[in-house]
Amino acid sequence: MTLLHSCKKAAELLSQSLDEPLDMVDKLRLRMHLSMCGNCRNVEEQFNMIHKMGAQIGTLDLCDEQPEPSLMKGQALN
Amino acid sequence: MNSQTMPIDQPAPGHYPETSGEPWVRLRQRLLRHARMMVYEPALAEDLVQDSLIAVLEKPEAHRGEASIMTWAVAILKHKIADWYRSPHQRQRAWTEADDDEDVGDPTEGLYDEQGSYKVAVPSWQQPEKQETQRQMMSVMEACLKRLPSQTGRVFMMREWLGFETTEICERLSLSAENCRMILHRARMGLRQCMCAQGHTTGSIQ
Repeated sequence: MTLLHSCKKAAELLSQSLDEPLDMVDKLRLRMHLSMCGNCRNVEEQFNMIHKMGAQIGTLDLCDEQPEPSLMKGQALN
Repeated sequence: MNSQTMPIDQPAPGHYPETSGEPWVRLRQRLLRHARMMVYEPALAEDLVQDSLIAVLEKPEAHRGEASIMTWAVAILKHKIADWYRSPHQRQRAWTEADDDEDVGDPTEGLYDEQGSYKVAVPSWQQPEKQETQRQMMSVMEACLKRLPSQTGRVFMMREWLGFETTEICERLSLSAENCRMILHRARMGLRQCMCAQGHTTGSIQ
């Protein structure tokens, strides 16, 4: 077991932490990783925002008159 | 909240506004958009939306003006969908029909190098302060949600929108905890990548 998580593992734990409490060791290792990694701090911020917005879907009065934003071509995720 | 974009006020008693108002058509479409993301069968989505609209029409006085009709209708729809997921006889159906042989890709593919570090710097997102920016960001997120494999999107919505605990999602959809975790992670990664690609970060979405 390496002391530090990779960014890949950190992202998994960041996601998991939004759904359930992490165990102490993972929590600590994640915190250490975040303290040294700006990329992962940004991912954390993005996940938090997505989490917050997810609960708010439908509660912001979107301007329904406007067409939905068209996604750029070739932007398929799957 | 500003309800200007949804100018529906108290419907007159005994007067059914869906026959008379464009706003109701928009409201219905809006609810359908959410419902279709959550349930597989179009007819079922229609039923849930219909039930929600009836609830709105039957008790217009329950809407106290602290939220727009839209917000209130969405809250009712959420309850209807949650009830549907929780009804025992729907359990099997929810799973088998969600399992529609879709191409479930891994959005993290190619994202990391061999050490598991990001190949490309992760941008920082600005907290949207203006309501207009929040709206833009929300419509990008909704568009991105639709781009997720449908089962992935549904699990994300159950968790984040309906607010189900992951243990309940696993149980309702007969997924293992590990599987559930992975699906949610993929959903979030997929969303953040899609949203980054749409350049919402500075509010300059197009």
